[in-house]
Amino acid sequence: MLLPRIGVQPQASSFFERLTAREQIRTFASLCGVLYGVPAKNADDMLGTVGLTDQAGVRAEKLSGGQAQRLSIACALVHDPELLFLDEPTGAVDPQARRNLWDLLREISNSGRTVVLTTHHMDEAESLCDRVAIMDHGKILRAGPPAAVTLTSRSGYRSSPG
Amino acid sequence: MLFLVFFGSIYKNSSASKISPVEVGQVQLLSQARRAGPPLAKVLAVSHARSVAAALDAVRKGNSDAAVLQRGAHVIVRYSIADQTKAGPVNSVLASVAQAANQAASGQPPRFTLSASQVEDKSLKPIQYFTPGLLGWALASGATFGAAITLVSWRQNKLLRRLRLAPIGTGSIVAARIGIALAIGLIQLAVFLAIARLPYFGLQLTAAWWMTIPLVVCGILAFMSIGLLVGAIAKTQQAATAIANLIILPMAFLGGAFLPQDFAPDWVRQASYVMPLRYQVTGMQDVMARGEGPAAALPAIGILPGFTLVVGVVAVRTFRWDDI
Repeated sequence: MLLPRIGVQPQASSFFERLTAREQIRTFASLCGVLYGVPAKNADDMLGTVGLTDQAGVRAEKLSGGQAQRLSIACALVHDPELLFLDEPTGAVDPQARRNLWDLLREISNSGRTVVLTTHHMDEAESLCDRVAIMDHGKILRAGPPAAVTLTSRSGYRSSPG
Repeated sequence: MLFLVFFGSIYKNSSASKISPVEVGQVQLLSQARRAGPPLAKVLAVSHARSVAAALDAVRKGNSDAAVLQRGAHVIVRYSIADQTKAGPVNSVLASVAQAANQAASGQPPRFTLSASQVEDKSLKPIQYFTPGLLGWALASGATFGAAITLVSWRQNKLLRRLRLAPIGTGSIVAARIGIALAIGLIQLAVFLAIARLPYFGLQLTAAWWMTIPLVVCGILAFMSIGLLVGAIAKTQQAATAIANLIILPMAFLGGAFLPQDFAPDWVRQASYVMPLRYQVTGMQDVMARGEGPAAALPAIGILPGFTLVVGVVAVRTFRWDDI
């Protein structure tokens, strides 16, 4: 089974209604634990990892865009996956929150996990990624280290360093 | 719940229906009947009017059920057919008053006596009938709407997709939802019974009432399967609400939750055999109010899971994780 080894963050707003940040993580953790015996992580530790310690008691729908993204990532991490898929983690997030997310993503990457993320921002790809692939209509047009890909992309786009 | 309190208060005294004729001058018959005591004296609430015109006016306005006046040995009764449910009893009660007087005048003891009583316990009040009906309806709509709307909203906010991609078994999600629905349903049952058993409403539970618990469980599963099917078909929450209403409301009216089946035309009774609510409500009425044994609930306990299985399979077939 692959599912225990991967974590997926589909969209920031995909939470159970009327649960607080801490309860969201506990719910996901216990739902995972029921079937796979994954040791339920301490919800507060998880919140600390994504920098939401102060928002533990806040309902998910009241979190700001960036906070919701971080909670969403935390929910994807509850079962300690090796591979993490993130769908536009920095979409619809203000610049400061975006920087915080970058730090978080680097931490996750440094903890030995592989992170696959999609983004519209070339600077983000360049700053965060070891490998970049440009996709159009489901086909990979270019793939490789960020410098090579962004330099030679067909649009001629050259981002300024992040 | 509101309906229970509402109907319970309205129909509280419906068994005591009195006839209130208005008497013009002195009517010997009526005073005799009052002196004779029950049962006739019990249903008569006689008032007086000075003139015939005033009495007729009171009847026309509906303040009195009939005007009674006496001309010698001839007693005249004028009634209104505006209130047809009263017109019948008025005529028959006053006729029996006259007959009783004739019989007394003959000086002979009555040759035949008639004693009529209802087959149910004397304490059988309307609350006995509509507590199971309203409870069945409340459980049905709770389970159906809960399942349908949760499914649609989870699909809409992509929570379903997230659950699918997390290492979470579909079984544990479904089991969790069913567990919650059953817990809520049993609490509903407890609160309903507690309120209906207040002295004010006066529900009397009969011996096998505990069979309502398995009935409630079977009913909730059946209605959850309907809800899942609705949630699988509907794309938006509004659509889910509309479809669930279309299913539940006709079922509540035709399946005997609001209106007793005895008054329903034949085709309604035929149609009710495909409605799960019918089995649940009649099962609950049998064991809660009619005093039948635990076995009376067994047909429903057999049919409802079958229904659940069929609808559940269709729901699983139409189920979608995503809107696309």
